[in-house]
Amino acid sequence: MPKKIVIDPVTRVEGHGKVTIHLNDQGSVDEAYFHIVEFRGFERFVQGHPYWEAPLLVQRLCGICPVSHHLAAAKAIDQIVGIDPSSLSPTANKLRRLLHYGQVFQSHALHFFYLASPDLLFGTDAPAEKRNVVHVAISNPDLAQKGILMRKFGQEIIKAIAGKRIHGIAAVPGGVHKTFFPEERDFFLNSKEIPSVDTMIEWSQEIIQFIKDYHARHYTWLDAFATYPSGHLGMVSKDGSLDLYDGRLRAIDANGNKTLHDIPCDDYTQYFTEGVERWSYMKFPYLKHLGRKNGWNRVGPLSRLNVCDRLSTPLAQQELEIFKAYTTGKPNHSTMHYHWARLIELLYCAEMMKELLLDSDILGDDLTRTGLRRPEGIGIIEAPRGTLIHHYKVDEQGMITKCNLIVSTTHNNEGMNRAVRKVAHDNLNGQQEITEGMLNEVEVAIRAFDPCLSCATHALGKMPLRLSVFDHKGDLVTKKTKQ
Amino acid sequence: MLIPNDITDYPLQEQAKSDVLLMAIGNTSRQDDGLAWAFANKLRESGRFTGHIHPCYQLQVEDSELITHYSSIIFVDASHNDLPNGYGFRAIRPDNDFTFTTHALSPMGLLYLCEVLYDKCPKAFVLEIKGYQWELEEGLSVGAKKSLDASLKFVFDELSKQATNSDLKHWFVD
Repeated sequence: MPKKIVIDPVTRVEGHGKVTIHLNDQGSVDEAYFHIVEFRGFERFVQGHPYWEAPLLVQRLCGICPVSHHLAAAKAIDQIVGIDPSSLSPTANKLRRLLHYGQVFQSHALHFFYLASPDLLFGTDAPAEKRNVVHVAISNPDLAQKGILMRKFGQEIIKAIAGKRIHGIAAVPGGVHKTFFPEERDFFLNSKEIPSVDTMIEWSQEIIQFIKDYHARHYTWLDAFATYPSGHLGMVSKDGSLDLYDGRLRAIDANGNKTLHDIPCDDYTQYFTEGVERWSYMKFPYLKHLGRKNGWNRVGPLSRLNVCDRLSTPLAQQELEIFKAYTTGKPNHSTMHYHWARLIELLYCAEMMKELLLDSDILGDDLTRTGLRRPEGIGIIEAPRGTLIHHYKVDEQGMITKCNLIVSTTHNNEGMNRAVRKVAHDNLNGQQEITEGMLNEVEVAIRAFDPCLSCATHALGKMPLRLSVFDHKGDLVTKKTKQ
Repeated sequence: MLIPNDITDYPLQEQAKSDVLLMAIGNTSRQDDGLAWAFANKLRESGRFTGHIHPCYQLQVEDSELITHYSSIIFVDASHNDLPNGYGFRAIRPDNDFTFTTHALSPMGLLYLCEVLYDKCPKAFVLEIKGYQWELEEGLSVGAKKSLDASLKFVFDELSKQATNSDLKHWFVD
């Protein structure tokens, strides 16, 4: 008999969504969808507000990556006051970068240690009540303690620059608003109150070794699970190095051929547009010249390492070389390798934080600059989950008249749906009984992207994420709900 | 002693005189969910609380490390529960009460994590203050203001005078 399975909510992701899987008479998967059921509103309600409020307002999109929204909006607002990224003072540029690396570091630590590690340590078919950070703490306290202190380090960086860990303020139009003091810098270097940045580098290397060892034991699963060819999008500097704060947009197809040739961020509207589907509030961005069918790209750590030529820090570069060598230099399409890539970025951010903390420019007092007002600003950064685009237009009074946000998770919308379909086909086709473990594997695929659904739809309020199985008549057969 | 996180969220406070931590959990943009922060503010203004105040939106896993630096913790939070006096106060113990989401971590769960990870278990109490309205607005409802007053009266008139209770007596100065 045809069936429809519902997983509702999907868990250990940021935000609220659900999965529906439609089975036919033979018990095979006809279709599978990842629905985002939050409603977006931020783009509309920032209209009418003065432009300088945007970096403050939009960071309320998220409690995990508010710094990303704050900085993307700030970069756009910089342009409205006549300042391009290259015109920022060295102090402002480097403090914003330090803030950004702290944010990515804490977000990646949160995802790996709190959200992803239970699946890896206990297996996807472990009892549901065991697959959480508490059991990670019980079974592997050393890993858990390091995870906590790594996340804390990133949050302390954010607090030192932005005033508080969540929803602080660092960027103002044309710069930053606060001088960074030597004693604030020394807090991260001297190991007196928290483990130092050198320890963060050391622990990042340890956790990369953990994932490589894990991969050596489980490569059959990790390489094939939810794997499918796709394009990849990310930001690079002029020399092709990964740049998370500012650079040019590069995309490649499944074979590694460039489909977006290091374009200036300000030109993004010439290349990108968004499609919609009736079953999701989240849009589907794609490259115009390749069309809706072929123009979508994955984003985030896996994609960034696929598109960049190199990393600018020595230890992370060594790891990148190993990562790229595994697929003989071709794009890596293994969804579960997002975790590996994310941990290489963790190391990269730790090294970048050290470099910046030792740079005397961050202690300077040339904080803000201004230029000639413009009616429009575009800010693009690489947030923890991928390419984040903020675009604002203002009237002569400086009030926002238009806002467009293309959030990292939105870029991954098509990719996550492909992953869900792949896992549903591979795991559920022809099964006599559909177990909780099988359904969890659908979530594992989504979780690898580290989606932030509240960001992607710009929603407010409670946001759990949900899985359903329906028969061919549309009748609900099974539903996975956790409240 | 470690300076607690997010102290800059809040008006600066004097150097703490005891190793007591008050964790005020809430969101002032959600009406009565801001009760704990309002309570903490009043407590700070009184100058009688001897410990650190840590305002936060929600408890986080990493708070399990923070609380290892204190001998006593008081968690203050707004409550949906039916509380005839407008507040409730009780001692709590570690409890593995985790749900599927890391978005909701209870004080008991936090104590449990602290015990598992750091082999420490500070004495802990929960003060819940009854709220009524939870929409996207700033400011407390009339009912919540009454609950806040009742909880402050309880703390200043009763709790602070329970000198025989060795766990509590050093929390306050006259």
